[in-house]
Amino acid sequence: MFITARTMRSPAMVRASRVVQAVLAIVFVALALSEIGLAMNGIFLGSVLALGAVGITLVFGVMRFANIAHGDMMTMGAYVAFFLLVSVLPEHTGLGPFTFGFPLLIAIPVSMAAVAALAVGMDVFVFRRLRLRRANIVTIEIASLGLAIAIRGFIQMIWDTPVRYFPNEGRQHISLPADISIAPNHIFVSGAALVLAIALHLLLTRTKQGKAMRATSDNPDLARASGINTDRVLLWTWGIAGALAGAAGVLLVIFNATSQLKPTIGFQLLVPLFAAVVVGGIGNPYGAFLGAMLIGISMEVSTAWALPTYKPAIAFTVMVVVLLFRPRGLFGSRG
Amino acid sequence: MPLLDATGIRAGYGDTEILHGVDMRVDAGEIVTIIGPNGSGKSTMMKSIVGIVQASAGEICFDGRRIEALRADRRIPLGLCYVPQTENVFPTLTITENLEMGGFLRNDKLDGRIREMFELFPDLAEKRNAKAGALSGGQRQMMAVARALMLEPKLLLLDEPTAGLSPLLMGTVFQMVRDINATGVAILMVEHNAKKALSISHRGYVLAMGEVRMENTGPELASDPQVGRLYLGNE
Ligand SMILES: Nc1ncnc2c1ncn2[C@@H]1O[C@H](COP(=O)(O)OP(=O)(O)OP(=O)(O)O)[C@@H](O)[C@H]1O
Ligand SMILES: [Mg+2]
Repeated sequence: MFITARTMRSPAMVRASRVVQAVLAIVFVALALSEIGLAMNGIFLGSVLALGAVGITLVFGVMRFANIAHGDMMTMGAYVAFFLLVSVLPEHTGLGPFTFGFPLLIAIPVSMAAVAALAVGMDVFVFRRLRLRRANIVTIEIASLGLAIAIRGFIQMIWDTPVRYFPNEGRQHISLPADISIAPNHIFVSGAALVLAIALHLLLTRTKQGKAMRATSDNPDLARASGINTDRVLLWTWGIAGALAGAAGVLLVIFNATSQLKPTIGFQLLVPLFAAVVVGGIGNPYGAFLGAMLIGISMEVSTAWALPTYKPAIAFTVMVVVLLFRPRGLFGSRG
Repeated sequence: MPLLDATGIRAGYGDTEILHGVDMRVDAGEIVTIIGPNGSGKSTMMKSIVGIVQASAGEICFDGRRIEALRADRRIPLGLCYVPQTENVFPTLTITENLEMGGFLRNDKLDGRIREMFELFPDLAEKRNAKAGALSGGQRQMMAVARALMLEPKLLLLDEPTAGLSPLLMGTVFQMVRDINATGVAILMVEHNAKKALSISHRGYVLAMGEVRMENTGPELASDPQVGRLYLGNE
C-alpha cells in the first residue's frame, strides 16, 4: 500500500496500475462467468453480507469506529426469529416454493425491531457513556468486542444446545438452463435484501432524518452547527443498522439449505463483512452494498478450486488486492 | 444591550488552554472583524461562541439569553449561524441538500428560503443537484454562506470567508458581507485580509496569544501602525 501510494505518482506507473486493475476486473468477470452457478450463489450470499456491511458502514460513518459486535447482533436476530417460530407463532412450513412458512414473514420484522432496540440500548448504555468521557478509539473497540462476547454468551446461556434449526421442509431447486439450479429460498433472501436496500436508499435520500444522517457522517461539527441534534442521529443510525443486522441474521439462516443456526453464525461472517465494508470505501453505504456483492461472488466462485473453509481467506485476499490499487476502497473518499 | 456579549472566555483543546479570558461584543446590525496572527485563537473563539468548543470559563449572552451551557444545536435556533474556516460544506450532499440541512430547524417555508438563496447565489442554482464536494473554491464559500443563512440568523459568524480566493472573488465576498449586513444581519468575521475587512467593519478586535490586544472602530484599527506589528505576531 505504501509502495503503491509512492510509485503511483509517476504517470507511467499510473498507466501500468490502470492496466493491472483492468486485467484484474476482466479476470474477475471471466471467472464469475465460467462458474455462473457459483457466481449466482455469490450474489445471494452477497445480499446477506450487504445488509450487515451497510449497517457497519453507517455506524462507522457517524461514530468513526468499526462495530465488532455487528456479527453477533445478526446472530441475535436469527435467535429472536427462532424463538418466535418455535414458541410463539403458529407452526407452518413450506410457504409456496420456500422451506419456511408464513410465520417467518412475521418473525423478520419482529427480529428487526428487537435487534434495533438492542443496538440503541448498546449506544445508550455503553457507547454514549464512552463518548461523554472522550474515550479513545481503542477503548471503544474493546467495548464493542466485549458486547460481542456478551451477546453470544447470552445466546448460549438461553439456547444451550449448539445447533438448532428453523422449522422447515425440503424443497426442490428450480432448474434453469445451462445446468444452473437455484434454491427458492435464495431468491427470497435476495429479494428481501433488495427491498431493504431500496428502503434504506429512500430513507437516506428522501427523508429529513436520513439526510441528517448523511450530513452527520460527512461532518458532525457542521451538522451540530446547523442545529442538528447529532446524539439523536446516532440513535437513529444504530437503530437502522440494528434492524438491518436483525434481518440479515434471519436471512442467513434460511440461506442455509438446512436452516441451521449456531451461536457463531454471525461472528463467523465478521471477516467477509469487514472486507465488504473496506472494499466499498468505509463509511459509504452504496460501496458496502457493492463490496458485499464482490466479496460474496469471490467467496462462492473460489469454491470451484479451493476448500470452502478458505472462504474467509478469499474475502480477505480480495480486500487486500483492492486496497493495493485503491487505498480508500472502490468508492471511498475518506482516508 | 449588545446582541452578543462574551466575557472572560477561556477555552482550549484537551489540557491546552488557547483563550485566556477574552471579552468580545457585537451589537445589532454591526460588522465586527477579528484579526490576529496564525494560531492566536480566532477560530477557537468562533467555535466557543457557537458551542463546538465548550468554554471552560466565562459568560456568553446572546440576544438576552445566557448560552454558554447550551450544546451547539441548542444555540443555533436562537439566531446565530456559523461558517467554519475549513470543511464548511457537506461534501457528499448536493447543493440543495446542503441548504436543506442549513434549514434543518425550519418548520415552514423551507422551499421558499431555498429559492431565495438560489436568487442570491445564481451560481449555486445552476448546480443545485451537484455534490458540494465538487464545487470550486469560490462556489464552495458561497455554498457555505448560503447554508448558514437558511435560518435567517440575527448574527452570522464567518471564519475567513475569503481564504484561498482570487482577489476578484475576494471583492465579491466582501460585497456579499455588506449586502447581508444591509438586510439587518449582524456579522462577526475572522479575516486575514485585515485592511480590506476592517475598512468595511464598524469595529474590530486584534487577538494575539489568546488575548484581546486591541479594540477599536474598523477604520481606526486599519490605519493603526501598531496593528501591523501585532498582526504579524512579531512583538
Ligand atoms: N482541534 C484542535 N485540537 C488541538 N489543538 C487545536 C485544535 N484546533 C486548533 N488547535 C490549536 O489551537 C491554537 C489556536 O488555533 P485557532 O485555530 O483558534 O487559531 P487561529 O487564530 O484561527 O489561526 P489561523 O489564522 O491559522 O486560522 C493553535 O495552536 C492550534 O494548533
Ligand atoms: Mg482560524
